[in-house]
Amino acid sequence: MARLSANEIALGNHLVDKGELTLAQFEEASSLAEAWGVRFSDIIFSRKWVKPKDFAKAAAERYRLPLVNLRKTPPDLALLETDRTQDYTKHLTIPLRKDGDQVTFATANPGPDALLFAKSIWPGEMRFVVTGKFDVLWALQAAYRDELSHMAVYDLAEKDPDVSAQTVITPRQLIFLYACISLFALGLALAPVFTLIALNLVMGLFYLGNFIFKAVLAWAGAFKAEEENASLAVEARLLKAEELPVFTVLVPLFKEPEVLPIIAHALRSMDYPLAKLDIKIVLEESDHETIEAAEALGLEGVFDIIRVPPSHPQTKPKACNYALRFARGDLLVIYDAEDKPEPDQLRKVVAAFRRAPENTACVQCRLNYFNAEENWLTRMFTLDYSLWFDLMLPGLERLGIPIPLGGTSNHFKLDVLRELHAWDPFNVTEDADLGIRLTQKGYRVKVIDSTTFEEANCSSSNWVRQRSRWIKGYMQTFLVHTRRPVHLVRTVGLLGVIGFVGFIGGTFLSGLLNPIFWAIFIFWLLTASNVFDVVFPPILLWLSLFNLLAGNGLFMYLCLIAPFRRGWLSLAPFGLTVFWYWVLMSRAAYKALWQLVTKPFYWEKTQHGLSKQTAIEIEKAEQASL
Amino acid sequence: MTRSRIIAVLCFGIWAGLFFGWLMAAIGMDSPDMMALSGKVLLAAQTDTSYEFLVSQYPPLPFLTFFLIQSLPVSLPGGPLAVGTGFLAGIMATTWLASFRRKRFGWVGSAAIALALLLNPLTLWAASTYPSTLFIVAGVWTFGYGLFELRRELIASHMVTLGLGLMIVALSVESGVAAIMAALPFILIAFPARLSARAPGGLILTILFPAIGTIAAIAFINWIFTGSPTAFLPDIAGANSFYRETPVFSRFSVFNLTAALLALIILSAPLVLAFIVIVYRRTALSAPAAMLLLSLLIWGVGGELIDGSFDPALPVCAFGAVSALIIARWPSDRWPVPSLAVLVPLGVLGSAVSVFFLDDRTPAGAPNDDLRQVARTLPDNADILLDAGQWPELIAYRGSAEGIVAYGTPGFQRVLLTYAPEQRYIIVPSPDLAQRRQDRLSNAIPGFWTGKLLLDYELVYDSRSWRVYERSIQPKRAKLR
Repeated sequence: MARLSANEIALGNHLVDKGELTLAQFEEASSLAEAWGVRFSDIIFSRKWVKPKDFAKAAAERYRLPLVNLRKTPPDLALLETDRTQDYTKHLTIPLRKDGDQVTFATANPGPDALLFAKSIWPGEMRFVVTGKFDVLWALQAAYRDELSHMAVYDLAEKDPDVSAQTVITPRQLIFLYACISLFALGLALAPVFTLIALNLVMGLFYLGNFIFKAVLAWAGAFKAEEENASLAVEARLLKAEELPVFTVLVPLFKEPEVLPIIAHALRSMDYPLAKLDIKIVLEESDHETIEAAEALGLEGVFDIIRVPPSHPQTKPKACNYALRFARGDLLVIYDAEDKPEPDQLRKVVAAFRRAPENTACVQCRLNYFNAEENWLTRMFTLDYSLWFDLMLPGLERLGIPIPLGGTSNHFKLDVLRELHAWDPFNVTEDADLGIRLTQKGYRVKVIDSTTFEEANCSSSNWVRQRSRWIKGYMQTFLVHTRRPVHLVRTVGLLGVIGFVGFIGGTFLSGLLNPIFWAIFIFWLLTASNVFDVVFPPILLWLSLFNLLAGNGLFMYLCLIAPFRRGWLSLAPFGLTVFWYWVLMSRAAYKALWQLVTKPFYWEKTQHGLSKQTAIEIEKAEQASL
Repeated sequence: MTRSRIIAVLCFGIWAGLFFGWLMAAIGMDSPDMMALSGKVLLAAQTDTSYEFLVSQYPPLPFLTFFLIQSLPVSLPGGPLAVGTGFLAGIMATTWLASFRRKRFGWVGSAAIALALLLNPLTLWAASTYPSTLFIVAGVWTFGYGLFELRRELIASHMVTLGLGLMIVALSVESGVAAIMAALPFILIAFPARLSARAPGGLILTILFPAIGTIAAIAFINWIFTGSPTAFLPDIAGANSFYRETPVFSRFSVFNLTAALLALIILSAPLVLAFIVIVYRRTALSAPAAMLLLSLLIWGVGGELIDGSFDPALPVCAFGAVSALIIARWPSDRWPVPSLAVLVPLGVLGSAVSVFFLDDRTPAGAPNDDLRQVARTLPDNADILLDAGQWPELIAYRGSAEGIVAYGTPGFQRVLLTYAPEQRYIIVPSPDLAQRRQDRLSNAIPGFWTGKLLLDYELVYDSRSWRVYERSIQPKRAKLR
């Protein structure tokens, strides 16, 4: 338990004298700050007892230091060092200007911590001025705007170009593709029937392998010990507040001001000291509407607004990379604005990291939907997600296969994330790509039993947009990691490669191939034509029939049992209609393929807030914040 | 389990399987059902039978298993039925031994119990009489395992296990679908109420999907290859009902039949009732056990009443699997493990008594002698015209389907069109038999029985039921087979 510094006590007393803080609040904040090992100011900001600007004003009075508005008096850029961004953010202290041998530091955290930090930068003569917490963050963002923006886009591409999707397809991959197509064309010219049979056989084997693989995954995933889940929940509850690390929460948003109250309410409701949360609302600089909405919410002082400068590609990973520079936590998580994580999620994550091997760099939580029963699409989407997160991902973890991380609720060790140069801004499923890169670098991903509830897409056009982005991202990820096949085998092992090809490749390839086989099947059913008989010799005919019936039957069955774990069996009958969902999936796959060629880095925005349930959630969140 | 222990369990399973297969071959698997399936398997593996024949075989699981074994490029001693049955017995022995070891029973005790459940007289008798026996044992064990485990933890894998077990039962015996339908209410009762009450429709669908989905797939394949999605249904009615035209327990009323079956169950698996009594307060154990008992009992009674060819001995035999499930969950805190040393041998003795009773009332297959004689008249590699799909026992007695010109082959179709056979032998059942078995040759061309249309042939075998003609004058045209 860290004792409150004399400065913090003096400042607290001053705030009480000024009437900004009651004595009871002061005592509570003091004891919490000591117990949790956080700054006194973090407690009073997180409780909304004092605003950061009022705190700065009081501090300036107490220490008889000038109060500086950094928006009007920006720091001298020559004094700032890019590599120290995280330190500036952590100590809320930056060098402001230099007059001869004397450096003036602006601090929002006046006290010994700021003094020691300043000494580590400038051992010579110095003086201090006081500023607000948000002034420091704003000044840093303004100062590093271009540099950090460049790093957010090109850091990975410049430092580890082999794993960046900036190059969509390498010349060697192009030559390989060209050779395959030429070989096929040659085969058609010289021995057309044999070639078509061979192609048919390859596709048949692909389908067979794909559904066997998915069945094995689901089976392995379903067996993940429930005892382990229960003990993790107990361990999480038993964690003391002082044992909990500072957790950075990134909430990237773009043009969705209406759903912001949901995540704000969810984060306030977390069973985690708010003062230990470093929450960054990550917004595009041009998105005035959402910025205004965020400011109007009057959020606690632990919520920072990060404005991302405009640049291409305009993607979520780029925005997160930018915000990452200002993160000060030990762990980091991304949530979408409409996310409702279970209240004990962060605690469970901390407990999971504590019991996991040292090389565990990421904990993935499960995702599901709060508006499952809204319409057919939301039901199917819920079945899809239940299968993916409740069965498949735990199966991947159990079999030691690289896990393509899900869109949100993936919790990272911040130092590992920085070591890997964070997310690939050119990859539109940057999370899936990062999961593979983590495994390649020898890190592990753990899947735990804690759910974040989101808004399921209830409009098919919106769904196709979202799914086409995911599939395009899978295509990008597949292309990136198959550039160096030998390296891939060495880093993830043979089973890992099989899993990667089956899970990432199989997902988009089946979406592309399905319509071809459906068309052949429907044509044959309607016409009873024997035109295809020649490419279906007996063994292939049986294989195709087996794939058609057993494969589709199995996928349908997986949809039926997917909601079992959550007891949502009312959704099970809808699993019988999964065929129409696959049709939508194929539509999205072709859209993805087209975009991969024409607009590879284009981020198909998913519109949130369309669901009736979301409106209810917003209302609930607003009521709670009153 | 360590690697050496896994190897030990597997070795035991392999030994048990080989021993069981050897026992089957030694006892002889020549019951009507065995001979019929054996003939069908030979026919499918050794001739160019039509897809129609292949896809319309029901129950498909035993047929496909034995067909695959028969199709192997190596010749296996004992034949495909003994090998396949032994293989299944090996799997069950391995599984049971592993489950007993998990309960921390000793190696010797676990092996002895597994062998007692597997090699008891009732299972041996049923396995040598009905090809479905071990499939049913495996199916009941699988679905029972799922049922017990679902009371412990509600995870999808156990649900899949339950569904797979029901699927195995449905696809292993003609009355399989009826069996799982009979079991359904009891399965629902055995489920935790919070799950079955919330969404019963979804739950039933999830339970039955593997079985019903597979049967729908079979119907679809039948529709593709035969033009009728129900082409496999005549097999369910039981082609072999020829041998058992009246229910085997016909002398019993429903009440007496139920009582008789219950007596057989108590005789051959006394620990099932003992277990239910001991753990009746622990519903997580007693509910699945009681519901399994009731499911199999209702299946036995219902099957016997509905289908004359059904033998209720099969569900009784499945109590070996139920016993294995129960032993793996034996409440050693309530009843000491040594009590099993009394109950298990008692069950073995009881099963011997059951066999005495069951075997005694199985009708003898009188027509078998006639078929055996017909088979003897047919030399190897001869060119033989026969609607073999309707008379698979004849193929089994002959020991080979080589040279058979069966329905679905071009040669057979040609005879149906021209009435002018060219094969060396023609085998014709009597009109009465042909009518009952739907022999497509005799029914289409009745003149073959009388010989009026077989002027180039001479009668080489003649009985009340069968006639065999051999060609005496060589045809002018090249043969078309």
